[in-house]
Amino acid sequence: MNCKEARQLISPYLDGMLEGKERMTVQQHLDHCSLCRENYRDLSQLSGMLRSMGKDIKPAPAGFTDTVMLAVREDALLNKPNRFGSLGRYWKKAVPAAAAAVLLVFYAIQGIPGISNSVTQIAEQNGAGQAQNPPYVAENPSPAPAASPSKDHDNPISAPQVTATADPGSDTPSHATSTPVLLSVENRNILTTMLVIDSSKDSGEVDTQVGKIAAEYSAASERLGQQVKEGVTYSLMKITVDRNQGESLISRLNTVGTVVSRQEDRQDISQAYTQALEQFLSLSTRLGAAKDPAEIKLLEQQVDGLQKQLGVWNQKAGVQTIVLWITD
Amino acid sequence: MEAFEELVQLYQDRVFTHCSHLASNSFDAQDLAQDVFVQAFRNIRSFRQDSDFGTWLHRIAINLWINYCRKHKKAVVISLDEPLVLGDNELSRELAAVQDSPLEVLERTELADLLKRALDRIHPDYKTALVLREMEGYSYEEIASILGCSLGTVKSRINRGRKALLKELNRR
Repeated sequence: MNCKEARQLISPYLDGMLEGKERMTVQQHLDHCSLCRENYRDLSQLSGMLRSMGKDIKPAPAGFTDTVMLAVREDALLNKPNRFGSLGRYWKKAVPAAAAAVLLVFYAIQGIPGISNSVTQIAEQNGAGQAQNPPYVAENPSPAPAASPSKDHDNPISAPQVTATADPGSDTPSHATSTPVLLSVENRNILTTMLVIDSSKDSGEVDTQVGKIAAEYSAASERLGQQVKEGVTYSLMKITVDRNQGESLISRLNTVGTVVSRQEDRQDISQAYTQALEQFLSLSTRLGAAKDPAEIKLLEQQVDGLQKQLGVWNQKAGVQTIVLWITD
Repeated sequence: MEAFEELVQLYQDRVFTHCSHLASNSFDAQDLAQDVFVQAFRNIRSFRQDSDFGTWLHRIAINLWINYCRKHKKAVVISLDEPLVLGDNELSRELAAVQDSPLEVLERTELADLLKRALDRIHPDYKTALVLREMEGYSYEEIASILGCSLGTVKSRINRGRKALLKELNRR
């Protein structure tokens, strides 16, 4: 065996992958060739170091489970591609985006007469109705499985009228008679604003102050924990405020410290929203015409799931999530 | 959903550790680990109850990583002429080049850091095979099964990976 042949076998020899004569031949070569023996020692040491590195358990960062669960819920809602699947998405972005989904609140379903009108008309009709309906918290924010596309999928606008007899005050929607409050096309995005605030106050004082400001706007504030980025420790807080009052609230945050950076993320949900809406209209039509009890039950489940999905988006698009990265 | 959250809590450190071995930095590892769980939730119905959930997650991580590397043709991410930055200290290649043995260099510097950087410079197929063999402790047969390739390919990748890694370290 020459050195070239031996070098091809040193690696499997090291791993105990050689047997019998082959193993013995390599062993004999190593006994007589100092260069190959040196190569074997190098590879052996390298292997030892890699194994040693592999033994270290690296704990997941604080808040990892929460962020993962929010991403899972968002993914289930929007079925959007992830970074290692297809599109890029960094952790830094994941924090505010995930925070936006912490509370999955959706508005009560309001009965809308004249569903045969165009989508745009429906949206206009519901502009005022949305503000009047009190929100309630979904017990199970996870979405229902996506309904299978119907034959009417391509033409939702012309869906036949569904009998509109739902009581607007009722919190028990009738699947066959109502449609969710709809977002106008320009509002089909989820707005998250990330502010980096340099504050000289201690974290307790900052918490209190941010809480007070949030309360002035009837907004929810929450402490998300700490993140270390490039050697700097940030306290993370999240405020969820009515979208119309977001800017006003942000201007008040100047009293907490100096806003040194601001980034906005508008997550476009228009495509997914339109698809869900089309499915909703289509399935509602089929439900209205269905006679078979089993089919009715299945369609009711699908329509209910889509209603909830649309409701979740309505709520998320109706608020602005402000994530504060506060330095000490 | 609550049950899945418990699984995330249970496996997050293990998955994050695996992802740290594959990804080149902590941020990528966090992204990858997050996507592993998202993918797992999407495909939870395909998980066979008689197999190990941790191993299943690990395979998802590897598949996501390999797809990502292929898609982005991730091979050499740092110029060979670029000096090494180790925390606050900068180690130039010229300094490393005067050493006799790459392993002696390793002994005098941040071993794990240097080795990780060198791993990131070799071909991702070699890196994946080496990570699975050396850091995760899989057998050649298991690696062939995970990667969906022949035993001969695994042997070849590990052999070439080790040589490439030594060569990378020799450059310093």
